[in-house]
Amino acid sequence: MLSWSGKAHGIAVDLASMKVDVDHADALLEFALAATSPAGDRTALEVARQRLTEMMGVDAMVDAAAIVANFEMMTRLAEGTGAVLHNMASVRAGTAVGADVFKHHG
Amino acid sequence: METVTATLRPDLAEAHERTWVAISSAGTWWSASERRALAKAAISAMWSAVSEPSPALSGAPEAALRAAARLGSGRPHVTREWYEDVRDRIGALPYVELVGLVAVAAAASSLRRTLGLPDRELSTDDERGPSRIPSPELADAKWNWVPVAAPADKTAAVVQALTAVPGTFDELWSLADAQYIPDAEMVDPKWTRGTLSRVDMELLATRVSFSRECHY
Repeated sequence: MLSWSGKAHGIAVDLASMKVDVDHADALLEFALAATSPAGDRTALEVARQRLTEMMGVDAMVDAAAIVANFEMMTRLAEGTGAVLHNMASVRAGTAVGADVFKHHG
Repeated sequence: METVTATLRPDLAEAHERTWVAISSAGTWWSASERRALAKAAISAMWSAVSEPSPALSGAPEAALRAAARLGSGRPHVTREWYEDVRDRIGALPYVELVGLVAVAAAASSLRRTLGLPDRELSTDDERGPSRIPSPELADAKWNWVPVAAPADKTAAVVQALTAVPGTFDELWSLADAQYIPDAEMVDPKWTRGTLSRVDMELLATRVSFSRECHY
């Protein structure tokens, strides 16, 4: 999904190193890492929250927290139900879950 | 250091309020008190990185509490053999509901912790038992361990994963719509709420999935 969206925006993405050619990429990565640390380093999280807010605004920081929460949810869903990648074309394209088949889940 | 004060957008706040109520309420295969016990086991394990439930926890069958803690902590990764053992102890459909419950509890706890909000107490108002609403016609899936609503393997594995328990499916996907991207916009690589770009969202998603060693 990262490669796919990067391509659509004309933004260079290196999946292996998680390098994305946007100014605030490091702040987003630092924020996600601090938020998912089970050891609970509250200071690191506070610093990451403040840095991201200064760079992108408080509404973006809240939306970033919601994305983190979503993937705390989705990773447990995938693991617990033994979900497997089903579409090798999607895997090769870097769309992972296959955006084409996501539509109309309800 | 200045403290950041965050306000949730209304749809996100409503989705999380619904989720906290749902966690505390009776489900299809678990009673309200059992769901609270399972959610507590999952959340506690999630932040302590201990995959065993606290000895102080009770209120649900031990096999279910252990499974909730293991899935909540995310470590060690579960295997098909582990799933089959738990399924044989608690039943396939209660297991599906348990996975959905752990997943939404993880999201609900994560958002509050990430924003620096205090942990939320689970309401004990609901004392109902499970509804035992009959499942749709089920099928074995190739893309999931768990049974799914028939026909199997017609949509993405994560999408079909909870279809055997429709109430659990609805709880999780309505939360995903508010947290991530509304279903109808999923196929648009340039969709945005005006804050994060789709690339920003996918970078965060990739980082979290990498941290959780999620192959999906």
